[in-house]
Amino acid sequence: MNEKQFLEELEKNLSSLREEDMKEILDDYKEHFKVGKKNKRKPSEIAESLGDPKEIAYDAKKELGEVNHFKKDLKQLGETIEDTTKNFYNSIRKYFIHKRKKSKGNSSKEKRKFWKALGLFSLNLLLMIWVFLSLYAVSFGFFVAGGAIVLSGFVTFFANTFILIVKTSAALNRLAISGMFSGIGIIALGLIWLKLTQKITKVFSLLVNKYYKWHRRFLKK
Amino acid sequence: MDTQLKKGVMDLCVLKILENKDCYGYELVQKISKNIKISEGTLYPILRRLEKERCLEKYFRESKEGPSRKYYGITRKGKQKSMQLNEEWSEFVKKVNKILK
Repeated sequence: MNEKQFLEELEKNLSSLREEDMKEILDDYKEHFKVGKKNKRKPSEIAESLGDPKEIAYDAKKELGEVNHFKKDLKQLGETIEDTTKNFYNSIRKYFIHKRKKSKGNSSKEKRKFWKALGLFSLNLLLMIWVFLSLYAVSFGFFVAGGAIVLSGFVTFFANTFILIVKTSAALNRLAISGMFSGIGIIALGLIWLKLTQKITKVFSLLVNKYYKWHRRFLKK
Repeated sequence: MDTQLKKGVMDLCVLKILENKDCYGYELVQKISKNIKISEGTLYPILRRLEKERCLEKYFRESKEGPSRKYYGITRKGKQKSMQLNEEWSEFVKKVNKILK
């Protein structure tokens, strides 16, 4: 594999990333080739020691956290709920054991733990699950709407193209041309809408992650 | 040696090398691959992740021959992580050795 083949293969496997991330990654490897060639190594040799572009792309995506946000979020939400429930159950158990023994030593600490667990449990059950679920419902709704806009753009475009092809009156043709352009406009609008939705979903995903981390820290204290 | 096993300790290797001196990507990669057989390309994603975790910071510096190069330096957080990983690693090696004896 030569330099060009390596970089092309890498680029192909990174195509799901944002452009600036992709460029940064590719630049690193271009630089690597440049320095390697300056050190009198053959490009094919450099490519060989770099390894499989597919594997590199996979690693790069994983490090960027781009490997399926939604799945990761769901997993974190699941763990949050599991943590809380386990913690809640344990604290209650300990609390009652202590109460029965009437030991004075640790009971205030256990009591505090109990209230903390109860608080988190109810916060998650009453509020957070619903907040996150509705966030997802909202972004899902936005995605569907975006898709519908794009679709209607296509329909407008092709319907007007069809009118143009069948060739009716001149006046109708003029209308059809403007209709075609508005079809393109609607498609563009839909794409922008989808892009924005993607950004919003990323913010949601970040929120879930932040909450998850806070949750973990809080329970450890 | 198993690649997964190698990848696990790469964080430590990278941080240790940068504790001694700042390096540019190629230099760092060569230092590691000189000793450990690894696909050199997989080191760059590790660098990017460590940078994202604020264990490393990058900056551009002029090189003697030609355009400026991207250098990596270790941060305070990186030094902490290096210490922690080092301890974990020693502990792990000790335990494995105990079993092997």
